[in-house]
Amino acid sequence: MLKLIFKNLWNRRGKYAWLFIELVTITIISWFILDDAIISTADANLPLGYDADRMALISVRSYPEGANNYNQAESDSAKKADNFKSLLAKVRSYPEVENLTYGYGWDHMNSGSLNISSYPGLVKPDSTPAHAIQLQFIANTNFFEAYGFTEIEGYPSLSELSKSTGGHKKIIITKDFADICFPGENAMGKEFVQVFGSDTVRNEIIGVVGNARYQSFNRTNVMAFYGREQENSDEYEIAVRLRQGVDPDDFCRDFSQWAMENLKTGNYYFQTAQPFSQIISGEEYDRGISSKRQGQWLLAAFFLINLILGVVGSFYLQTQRRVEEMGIHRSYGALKRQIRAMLIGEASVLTILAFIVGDLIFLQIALRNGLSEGYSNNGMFALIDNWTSSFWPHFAVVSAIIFVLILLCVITGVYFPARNVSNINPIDALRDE
Amino acid sequence: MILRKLRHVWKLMANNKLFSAIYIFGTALALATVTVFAVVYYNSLAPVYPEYNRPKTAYISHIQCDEILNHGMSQSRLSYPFIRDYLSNFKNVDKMALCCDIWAMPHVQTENGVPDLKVKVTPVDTAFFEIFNFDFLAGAPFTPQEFLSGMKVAVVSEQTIRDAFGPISPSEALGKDISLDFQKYKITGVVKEASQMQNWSYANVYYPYTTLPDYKREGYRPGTGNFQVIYLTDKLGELKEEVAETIRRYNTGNDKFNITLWNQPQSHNELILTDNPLNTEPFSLWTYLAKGLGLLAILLLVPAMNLSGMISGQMESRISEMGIRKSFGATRSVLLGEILWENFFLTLVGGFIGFVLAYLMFRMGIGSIFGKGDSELGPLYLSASQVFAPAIFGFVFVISLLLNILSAFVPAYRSLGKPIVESLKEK
Amino acid sequence: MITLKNINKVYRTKTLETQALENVNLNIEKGEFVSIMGPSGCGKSTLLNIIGLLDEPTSGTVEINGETTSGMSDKQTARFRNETLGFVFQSFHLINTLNVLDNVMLPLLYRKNSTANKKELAKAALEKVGLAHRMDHFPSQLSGGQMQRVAIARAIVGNPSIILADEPCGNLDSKMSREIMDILHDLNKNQGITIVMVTHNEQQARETDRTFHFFDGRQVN
Repeated sequence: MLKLIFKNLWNRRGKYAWLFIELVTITIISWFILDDAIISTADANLPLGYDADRMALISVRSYPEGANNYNQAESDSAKKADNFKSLLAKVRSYPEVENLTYGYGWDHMNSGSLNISSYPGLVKPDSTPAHAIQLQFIANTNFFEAYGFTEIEGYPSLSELSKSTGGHKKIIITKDFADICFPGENAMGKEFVQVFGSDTVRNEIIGVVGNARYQSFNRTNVMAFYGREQENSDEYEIAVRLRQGVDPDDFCRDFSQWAMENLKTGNYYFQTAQPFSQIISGEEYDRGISSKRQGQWLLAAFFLINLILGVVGSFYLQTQRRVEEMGIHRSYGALKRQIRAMLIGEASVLTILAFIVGDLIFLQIALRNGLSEGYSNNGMFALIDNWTSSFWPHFAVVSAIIFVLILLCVITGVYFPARNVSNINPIDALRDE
Repeated sequence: MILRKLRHVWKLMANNKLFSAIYIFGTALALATVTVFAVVYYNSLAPVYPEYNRPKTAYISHIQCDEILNHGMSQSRLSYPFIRDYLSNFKNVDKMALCCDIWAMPHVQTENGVPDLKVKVTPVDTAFFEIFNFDFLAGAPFTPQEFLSGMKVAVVSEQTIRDAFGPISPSEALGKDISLDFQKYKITGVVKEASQMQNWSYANVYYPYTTLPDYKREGYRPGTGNFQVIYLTDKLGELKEEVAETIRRYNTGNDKFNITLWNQPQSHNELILTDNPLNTEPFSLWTYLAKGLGLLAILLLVPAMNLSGMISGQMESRISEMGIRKSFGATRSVLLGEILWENFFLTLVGGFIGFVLAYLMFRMGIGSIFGKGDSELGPLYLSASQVFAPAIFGFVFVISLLLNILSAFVPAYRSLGKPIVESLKEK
Repeated sequence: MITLKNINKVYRTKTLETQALENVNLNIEKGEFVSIMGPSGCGKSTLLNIIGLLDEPTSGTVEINGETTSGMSDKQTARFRNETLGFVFQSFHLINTLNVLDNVMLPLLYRKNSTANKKELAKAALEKVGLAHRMDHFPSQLSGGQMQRVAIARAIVGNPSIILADEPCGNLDSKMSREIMDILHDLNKNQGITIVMVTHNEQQARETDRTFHFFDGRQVN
């Protein structure tokens, strides 16, 4: 059968030439469009390192001075502290809330604000500085436990780390960061030294937690956390950890209804509750990441749908012209599925040959220009070593994905004409001249 | 005669349903995609509501301040003092406006019983409404006096009025207070809402930036703050030189800090097409036009190959028909013309369907993949008037014609070249 | 070897009912060379299609080599056609995009022979019809008689016990027709293949062992 397929393709090469060229073209175009989209999708699906799917963010604000509901008597710092404490207790006692932590404004995972600091000279092998994303937390607010970071053996527990008040000088870093800077050693007590003019700042490592990614679309897992004492604020973001089995969307809807009436103390009032998934998707949209990714997949779909149409059209016309041939096969004992297999086989072999050509052409481009690196930020690097960061595994995986997509489209396109012609009665086929 | 041709095409379609369906759908898909890009670029670049002055508008949106000694750096919007002191008195400017960023979207407290809604607010000045020509459905922009005195007044979009107050008319909204995070602003004007595609002018609420308590504050480093500058100018080249010279003088006289503005002020086209306020390469519209044509070519290439292949295949089955026609006196050019006409009708049908498909795609929010929108504003929709612009109709018609010629001409010309006897012998 | 009992074939459309065959009873012995004659539209090709399992009778039974063919599944029918029958058509029905050798090998595609074996069998069949020297040529490079000889080679390559020939000389001149008839007689006499041939030609019919005459779907002798 395979020999017959090759012979049929070769003998009909004039008729199939344009389809071959189209397949090669679509292979190359798919690479340009999908490489980035696939890497972006793969990166977005890497583990975040904390339990985002069990979390929601509750925004609390204060009535501004001059607003109708503003109460001057509740505005001094002691009252504010008490009022916020009381508000927190109400949230904590809400049935679906297992744990919570809170911070100011943008101080939560995956917020729109990015603080990057440069830690010099300790990243092996060439001592390039590590650019880490910094996140400050309020001490004694169960920060690490509420988010569900991973504890690392040989280092202080999450609850101990959550009590840290050392500011920039006492940092907690992620595991890969520690491993690459201090390979084979315990990082406790080690220091990064930063020099700013005449100032020298020593950042002591007081703990290590499991790898975590601050931005869902960024592979980078180089993070440094530092704790501070609480100060009064007019706005807070409360990150709640929900009990197992609680749907964050349902929680936010129900909680909002309850909170509109019940979550007010002093000048503090409830503003919104959002599932973390919404925070994450919102951030991806605001930075144009998800739009770009969707656009790429849609554009790829455009070309692949065109491919299906081209294959359907081409094979429809081909099979119309080969009705007699199919009738002969049938009269000599071919089954319907063998006829279909022959036509699908022709289309598949054509696809494989065209894909190899297109892939080799793109390989030359890729060897010169490189492949997609995914989202990067100010030259920061991801310490996760996976297939996306090495050339050949990356090339192989994306090639395989593109090949499967193209082959599926081709088989979809050829299936219906193949089925139609295989169902034809041999007598009708042989009469059809 | 056109009716006869139409009847002939209709018969052809009826006799080859699958071929016609694939042809029309393939054309529709190609033209829908081209239309989507055309609509997006048209709305992003052409003078559309309310940014009719786009050809004369230029922007400064980012600044970088480097600390010379300790190598610290800040990159952000600009500060009010820096703009006032260094970027305000240029010869080559007709008008200048400022707008301010608000990082957290405030909530409007509604009167119609629905939960508070998030709105996009832009604190602006009075010149903002002279550069961007809003359609005031009621009232007017705030006055210079209201602006200078920092009065809490606001211009609000029609949709936001309805969302906040329920089904009232724009004139009924005048004089009412809109509550933004419990701060009340008196409504002085109601405008027809701009589209989210108009990044500069789109907002739900506009109020004077003088109401912001610390708008005059400098950021962590000099020049850094929350403001963006909008110039109206006929002489962008000269203005760029003036700005560059001002910055050069600032840097020369300052041993602590160095300011960079890159290529700003940027024209509207430069900002949209480079999508990079930090761009330092000289901007050439022709380069981007060429890139656009390249994109168009790629979008049309694969559909054209499909259609061409299908027509080539179809011509094979019509060779004997062509032979018979030739034997009764038809010339090659006559037959070619007939085939091109037949295909043109099919591509027109496909084009029309493609246009409708594009409109439906916009109704479903495909604009979001192009917009630099805010997730909290919801998907980016475009109205019928934005999609069905005459320029876009014309463009799609020309593209239909191009696609038709690209796909049909070569296969038809080649197969019509066969001698009559050979054509008649074909099964 | 081939027994047809009370065969009826009716073609029905929305408005019309045509009785193509009416109460046909036939018995063909192993090794016989029979012909079927009749005017156009008398049902002879229909009869051949029914014997060749390309079509099903409306009623009646067909028995070939002791096996009743009604109720056979598509798979069984295909296998039967492949192993027991060989077809020769008036219009040759060669595949233009395959060369002579590949055309002759076609029936073997649906058997489990090795490629080398298939080639050997095909070459042997071509030898029998005297066209082994043309096995790399394409149908468009052959004359009508040569194409029909290739078609016969294709029909016998699988060693069928029965050949069904539908006007095998219909598109050939007298010289080529003679060649084809000689080959068919040779296959029948020397290899014992049963041949059922539809023909318009009286002379060719007289050369066969028996002739069945049909008129308006009915056997008249």
